[in-house]
Amino acid sequence: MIKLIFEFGKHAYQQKPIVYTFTTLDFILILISSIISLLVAVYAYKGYILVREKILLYLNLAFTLIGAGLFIEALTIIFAIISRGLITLAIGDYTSMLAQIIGYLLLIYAYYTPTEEEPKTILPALIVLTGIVGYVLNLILIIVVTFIIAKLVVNFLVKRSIYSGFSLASFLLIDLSHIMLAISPYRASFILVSELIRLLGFILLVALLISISRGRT
Amino acid sequence: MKKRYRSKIRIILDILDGIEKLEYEEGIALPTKIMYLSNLSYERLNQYLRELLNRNLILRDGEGYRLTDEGRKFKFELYRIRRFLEAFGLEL
Repeated sequence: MIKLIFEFGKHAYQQKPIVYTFTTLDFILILISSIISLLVAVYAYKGYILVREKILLYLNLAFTLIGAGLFIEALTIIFAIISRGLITLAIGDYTSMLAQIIGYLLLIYAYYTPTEEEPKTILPALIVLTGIVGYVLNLILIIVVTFIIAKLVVNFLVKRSIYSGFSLASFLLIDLSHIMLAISPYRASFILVSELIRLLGFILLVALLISISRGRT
Repeated sequence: MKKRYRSKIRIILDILDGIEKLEYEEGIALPTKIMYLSNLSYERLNQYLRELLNRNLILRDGEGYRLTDEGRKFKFELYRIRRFLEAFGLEL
């Protein structure tokens, strides 16, 4: 499989070096973001095993979904290159966005008592035309992440700790990346920059985990 | 921010904190003082103390209590978890 990807990559590079470079960078950025998200999920799960608090399970599930979504997105980029199928790419993209939306909604679920309407708001978007679906999902993602940011701003103003600062900055960058995609969804440079910004957001989450681990009581 | 009820784990953290503070300041943590610091009734405190003794997180020393090494490690881990949750605006 890896050999096949490598061979195809070489072939694609000979044919269209710009497209190859773009998709490779795209793949790497998304893959790193996904690994970081899964790292946060593991951290939350370890905490859950220790204290059995449901709130940690919600955090674990939220970041697992976000990470899994991004991982699927990264995988479909590879499959799309192999099969030259744009549909594969679109399906991967939508699956990833849906997983992320559900993940962020789970984070909101941890803040509040859930209402039954929340997950239903996602479903109608799937019926809309293919081109619009991605855009709509991205807009939902922006709304959901902005809502989390509002909570994190309040949290930061109350706590004023380095930890709350890290998570706020991280979610601000993640939101900014989705806003950039919404502003210009079809420009390759914008997509790469937005993914780089999202990666920076996830790197801040790693910094958060490190500072928590090193911090004293 | 709206005040939330204290979870079981939060109460345990308050008790462990109280015992460590009393141990440091007075050499031993007496139940009446732990009760005051953890804001619990005598009965509820006794329930929690029994659980902590069973889990080997504290030990009896005469009339009072002390943290075991395992108890100190557990308290440190709870602080980490609390910081992690607080970073996301959540509470233990």
